[in-house]
Amino acid sequence: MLSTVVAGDPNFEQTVSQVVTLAQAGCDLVILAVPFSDPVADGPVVQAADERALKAGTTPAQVFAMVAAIRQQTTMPIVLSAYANLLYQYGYAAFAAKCQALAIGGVIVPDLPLEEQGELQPTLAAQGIALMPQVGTTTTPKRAQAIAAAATGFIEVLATPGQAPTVTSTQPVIAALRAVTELPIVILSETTTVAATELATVADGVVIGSTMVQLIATQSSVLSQLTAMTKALRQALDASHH
Amino acid sequence: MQAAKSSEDPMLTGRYGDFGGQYVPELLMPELQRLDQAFQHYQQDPEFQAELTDLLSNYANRPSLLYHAKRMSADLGGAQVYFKREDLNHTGAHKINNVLGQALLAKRMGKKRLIAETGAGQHGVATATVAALFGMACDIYMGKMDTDRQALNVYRMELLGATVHPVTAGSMVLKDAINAALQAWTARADDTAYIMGSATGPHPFPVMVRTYQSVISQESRQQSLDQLGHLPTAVVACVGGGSNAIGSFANYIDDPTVQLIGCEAAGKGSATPLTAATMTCGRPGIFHGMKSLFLQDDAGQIAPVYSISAGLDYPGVGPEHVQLAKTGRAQYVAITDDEAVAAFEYIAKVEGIICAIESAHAVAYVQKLAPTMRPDQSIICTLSGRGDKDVAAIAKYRGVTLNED
Repeated sequence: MLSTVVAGDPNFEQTVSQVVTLAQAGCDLVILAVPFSDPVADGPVVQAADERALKAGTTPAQVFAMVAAIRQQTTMPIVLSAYANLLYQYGYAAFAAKCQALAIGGVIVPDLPLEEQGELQPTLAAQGIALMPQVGTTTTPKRAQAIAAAATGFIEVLATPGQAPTVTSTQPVIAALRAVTELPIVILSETTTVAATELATVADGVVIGSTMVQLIATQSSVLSQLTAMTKALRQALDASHH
Repeated sequence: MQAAKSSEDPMLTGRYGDFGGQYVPELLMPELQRLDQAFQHYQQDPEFQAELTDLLSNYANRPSLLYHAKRMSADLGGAQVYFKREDLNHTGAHKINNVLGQALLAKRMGKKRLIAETGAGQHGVATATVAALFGMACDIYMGKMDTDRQALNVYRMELLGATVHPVTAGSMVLKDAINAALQAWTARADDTAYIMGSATGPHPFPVMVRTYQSVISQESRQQSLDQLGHLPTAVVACVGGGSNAIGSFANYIDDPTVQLIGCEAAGKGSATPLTAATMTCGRPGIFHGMKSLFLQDDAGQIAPVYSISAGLDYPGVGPEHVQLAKTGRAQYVAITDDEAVAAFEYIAKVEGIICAIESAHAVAYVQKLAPTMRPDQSIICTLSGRGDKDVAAIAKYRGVTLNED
């Protein structure tokens, strides 16, 4: 089970506590989203979280400081999700070096498709940092396989916005990917326990995305809620998996 | 352009030196690639080109006039000033040229619905107009700030049958409207075409918009040869994203004697935060599908922008302009609100033309440039749109209260 957390929503300290709580509750990996002013690949829930995080003054440099604080309490794998301009302004080499120093395993760049990855991928690879691609449920098999050939880390499958991913809708592209890659395949799910466990039958993992971000935004006792939700999902996924 | 090797031709690669590209979410890539293929295909299709030419001539009122502004030329006491009158097009601006091209392409691709972003509303009106003409559904995304400021244009789009969606995310202006339109397109591309309004965004949009707007300079070059007997000394156009400017420059790029000058919006001044002067103040970055120059903070968050002109109020600029500036082929200057408003009033009084406040940025530079030139030299200045939409805002700027009831 993987989870998305928007770094800095609502502030530095609480992000650190949230990620540590997720790790303790059994989450396998957290995707820490670096907030951006114009997150075009995200829905309204993550957009609103990014706005709150930016209002709190969150910068990429602070996100690295959060990871450093998290690393004092857990070795759970962490991946950063950041829009291309944030990496570009930080400097690709500096960004990669910082990820390496903080044991950040990989980076997802939502607006860097296969055709543009060449400017970043070698710099990350030199530091042993994966560049994890996304594929859509409507991506053609040929294109999905080209993406898989260049991929490192894991591959994330996305449904068309507004449509929840299902076993049926994700199966074709996953089959195409499996034919050419051994890398883990995860599905981004905005969804309930039942749907997540179903998706786990076709994928190697399920990313709990905006559901987790929304919970952080609206619940008052966030940490105990995160623990409860993560434990429930973890149990359900373990029970359903293989 | 014809001499460029195919591996370097931006028409095919979407790259202008280091700038351009396709920095979009993977979910958009298949549709962008389909669009690119269709665009390249129909560029070679005589039937498509004939239908587009017919629409431009018989619906949009082309060719637009190249008008010799004799009073203004005499008053400025230097170069002969000519205006390329895009303000006389149907819907009152150059935007219709591009929309007819992209919408005809959409029709050929079997699309039933057009979506677009709009700032002041000119591109939205042009898209709604052509959607009505083609019998297509139309959804327009417009920042909530702009729907409030431009209520008349919102109603105009609704009269044309479009649905206007006020965008409440972010700063609720043009860049947020583009975000929303891109998201809507990602969610529904099978029957829907996204009509990009400026020479910005991911490939193929910058080359498509350039291609469909280059009718401006194709005409003006011939008109210049016919009316003046030679090419102009300089071509001047306003630049927001840069669609009318790239259209005004395109057919002169290989004529090194013709100076090309883009005029961007300095707002309260390019040394202040209240500016939209991307070429002057921007840094290289990646946003809205392209590598280009952007107004942004140190971390790379896109900055809020300001100009009196809603049509120039964009934190980025088309990638070809960045390359033209870098190679020195074109120059870019920043014009303040004060200078643009003064030019808006000047051209009204001296030539009897109420032009768009966007175009007034170019007129303001002509006022500076013409007196430094000889009377046997000439300037073609593109009047990208008419100014009816701006009259209320100019009155407000001058502290005049209009009773509109």
